Amino acid sequence: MGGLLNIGMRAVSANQTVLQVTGQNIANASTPGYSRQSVRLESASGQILTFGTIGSGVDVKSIERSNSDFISTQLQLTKSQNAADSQRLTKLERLESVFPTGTTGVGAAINDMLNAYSDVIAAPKDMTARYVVLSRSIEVAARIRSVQSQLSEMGDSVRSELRDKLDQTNGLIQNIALLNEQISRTLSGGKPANDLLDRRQQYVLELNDYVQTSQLNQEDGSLSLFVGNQAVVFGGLGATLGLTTDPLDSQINRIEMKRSGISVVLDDQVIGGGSIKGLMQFQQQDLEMARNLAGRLATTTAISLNTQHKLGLTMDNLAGSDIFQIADQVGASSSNPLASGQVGFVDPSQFKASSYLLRMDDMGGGGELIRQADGKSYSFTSLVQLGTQTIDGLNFQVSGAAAGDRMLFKPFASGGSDMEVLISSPRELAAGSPVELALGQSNTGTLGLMNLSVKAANPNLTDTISLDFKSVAGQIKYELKDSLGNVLLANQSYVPGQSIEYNGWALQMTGTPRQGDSATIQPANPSNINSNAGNARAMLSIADSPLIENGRLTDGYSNLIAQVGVRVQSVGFSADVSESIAANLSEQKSRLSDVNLDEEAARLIQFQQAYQASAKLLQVAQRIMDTILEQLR
Amino acid sequence: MSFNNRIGTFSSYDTMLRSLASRQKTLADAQEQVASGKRVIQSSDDPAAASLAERALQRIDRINSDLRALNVQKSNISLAESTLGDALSAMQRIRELTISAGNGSLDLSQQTAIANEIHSLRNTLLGYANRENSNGMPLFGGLGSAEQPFKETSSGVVYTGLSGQYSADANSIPYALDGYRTWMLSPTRDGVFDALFQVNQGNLRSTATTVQDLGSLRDTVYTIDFAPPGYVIKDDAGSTVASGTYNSGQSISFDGLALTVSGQPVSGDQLKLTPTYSIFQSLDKLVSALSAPATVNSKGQSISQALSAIDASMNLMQASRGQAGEYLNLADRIDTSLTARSDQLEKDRGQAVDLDMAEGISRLQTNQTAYEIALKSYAQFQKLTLFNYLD
Repeated sequence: MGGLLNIGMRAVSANQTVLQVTGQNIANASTPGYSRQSVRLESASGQILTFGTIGSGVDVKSIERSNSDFISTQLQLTKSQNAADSQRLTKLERLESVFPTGTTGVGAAINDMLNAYSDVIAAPKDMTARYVVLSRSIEVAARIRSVQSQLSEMGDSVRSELRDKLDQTNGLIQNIALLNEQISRTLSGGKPANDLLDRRQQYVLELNDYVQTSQLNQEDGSLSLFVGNQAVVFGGLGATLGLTTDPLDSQINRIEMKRSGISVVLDDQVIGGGSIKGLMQFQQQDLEMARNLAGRLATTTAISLNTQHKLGLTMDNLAGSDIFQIADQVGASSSNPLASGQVGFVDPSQFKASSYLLRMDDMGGGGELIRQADGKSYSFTSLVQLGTQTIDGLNFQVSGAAAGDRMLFKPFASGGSDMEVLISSPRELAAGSPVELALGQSNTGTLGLMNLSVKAANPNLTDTISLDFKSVAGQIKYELKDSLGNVLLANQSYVPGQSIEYNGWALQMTGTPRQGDSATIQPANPSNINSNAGNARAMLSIADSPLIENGRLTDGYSNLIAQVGVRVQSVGFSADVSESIAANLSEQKSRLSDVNLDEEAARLIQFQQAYQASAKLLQVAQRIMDTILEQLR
Repeated sequence: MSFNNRIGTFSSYDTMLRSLASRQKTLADAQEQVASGKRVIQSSDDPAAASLAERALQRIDRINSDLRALNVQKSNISLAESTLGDALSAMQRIRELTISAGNGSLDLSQQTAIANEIHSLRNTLLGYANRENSNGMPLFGGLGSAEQPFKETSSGVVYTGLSGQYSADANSIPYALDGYRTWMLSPTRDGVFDALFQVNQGNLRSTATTVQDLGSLRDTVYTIDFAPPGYVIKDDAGSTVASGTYNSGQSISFDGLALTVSGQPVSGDQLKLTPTYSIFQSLDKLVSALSAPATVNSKGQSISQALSAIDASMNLMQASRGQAGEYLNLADRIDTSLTARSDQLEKDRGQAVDLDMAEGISRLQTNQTAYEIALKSYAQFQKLTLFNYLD
């Protein structure tokens, strides 16, 4: 009797427990991170009698949690990678919108500005044509300023997002540390801590969304989390993550970890994933690339146009001045406060879209200059020797750098951010050339002028030089003579279309000269200024000059958008791949750990029945008891 | 217990939601493509195509700019060509007048009337030479000039522009013609000399000079002194160039020139050959010769010299006019080729980034249907649960 009652009571209690756990599962079916729980029932051992054993009911052995640490860590890793990729992709898509194709882009503005010189060539004294050139130049400057300002804003917004995410991260770290304490206390008290474990696992998953961690289970049940080899959570102690600036590059941020009063700056390489990683990759690689490309295009355009403009004459017969405001050198940031460096712009056609790191050797006064975009390095034996070199069209002047010092040069990152047009009047447009060409009045051949332009400043630029053609052994040759008739260059072969350069000008002629023909370069006659468009021709030809990576200036922008587009596309592909891998693992985890409502519903029915049967058992046991008691009265 | 093929309820909703979201994005992208008519909206859709389209656009703009310049060039050269046509008509008239002035029965007042008409035509010619286009650019400015390339000076009309011409190339023709080659005469190029007697006590007459050898021509004043039976030719430095025995009607050649003197000289007679630098100079001399009684030189002598200059000048104008015509033909060919290139670039650009509308719309419809089906199946799925069947 006692046995029956006992069995009944135990059965009722056990089935009630199962029903409760089933209820817990159903209630938490949609709770993120919840692992379904199941009850382990075991038959209780009974008394041994002569004819055999009668069991004494059912016991709840344990409540188990369907979870695999292995799958969970894999899931963390892949979600972390995906978080990094998709964060970087979001930012890259915004970056792409700064460089539109077609008529609203910087490339179209540069093209329109250069094409406008063609109308000045057709009518050099037409004020409207000149004014159009100026107003299009103003548009170029405005668009470039806008691009740089948008890029700068993106830099600021990345920084503030990093701060926000670090705040969230720090919150999660504290939560995990707290849970560690709770879990180790619960486990040391011999009780299972299923819900706490789930919660902690979920926090760790969320943390990995921000920054990837690796973990180690400790014996007391607490979980230690590491970023690289730095412990971010250890037992009940959590570190604080903060944002600092790179010592050399104020545009780049780094993460520092503070724990027990000690600060360590984390190396980028150890941060494997998470949206923080994505933001940092964007900041260091994508945003930098965009700023360098845009800055190089602006600097090349401005300097090339300024240089040619200064070689020309305005409508008032004065030498041209700078059209565009652009810095002619950029200062460097140095690890040694006593050292300073400037990078100057020398030859736009050689510019590369990169920053440069200078590293002094440990001894000897020499060092190397490393181009950051692709790692190419140039060695120098001394700072003085470096100062005489033109590297990638740039000149580096450094002083005060000692052994082991480092210096970062960013010639193009802010190029064009303050670009303005300095000319206000169409009369100041230096469309005229300081030299002019007259072909001999008695020429009998078919010489014609293709182009005469000034290529470089030269003290003898306006000296009168004549080219006299003679027939020598059946071939036409020419001599270069000065105004006194002295022969400067003799026996030159004439090739139609070939550039003849002297005293800073370059002359190209076509046609066939005959014996006795001549051509004379002389200083431009001031009364011809209204029909002199020699420098406007030179400005227009800048459009076709190989100025950007040996390609035409007007193709520079289309290369830029291709580079940005390829970057977006490739990160997009990575994000797709990492997303599908993460989805796959998530699916695996859910197969193991998630609640299936139909399953729980079936279990409900099953154990409801069992409960009813157990309750019936109790009722029977009670009736038997009553009967016996009845008899004993 | 666990089964091999179980799925979590929460995650299956999650998976479906993700699939819905991705279909929605595909649908939205297809809509954006159809609405904008472009297959490549930003560079990352297809970086190579976007870059190609961008370059094509820049080149098309450049071609349009070149075509605009070509129109100005065509209009300038065309105006120059028709001006030369007018000039040649004027020259024809001047020629007729010059010949008619040779009529022996004319008196001085009639001659003066002819001279006046010639003078007024000469001024008209000067106006033609200085003609400008609508932008104030001289049509005959050559390589560059002030506003009026042909200036009247005390020593005659002078060309102040830069002689020579820009050459035509694949995308353009010159903006102006060479004024020097059209309106001026050069002794070393054209060999037109004005032969006038300084002293003619005999009855000498001379023809105009003709060019025998271009390479030997010189820019100098020749004096032929007659001392029968011979003559001596000196240049303006005083050196003797040639000498010989004089025979009436026989051709005398020297320094690439030839002329014929007829009549009987008297010792001391002198013939001076001055280079003619422009048709204007020659016409001015003719006008003064016709307006005043003949002194040393007969009217016939002045007229024959003028006719030589007129003919030489008309040849030059004709040649320039011919060249203008050539340039205009070339301009038409350039126009055709630039326009063809522009059309090709536009086609390339379109192929790279424009949407094939038929394909785009059919894809849009497919995506719409797929999205609808996904929505419906989601709605169906969430109805299936065991709880519905338990009371």
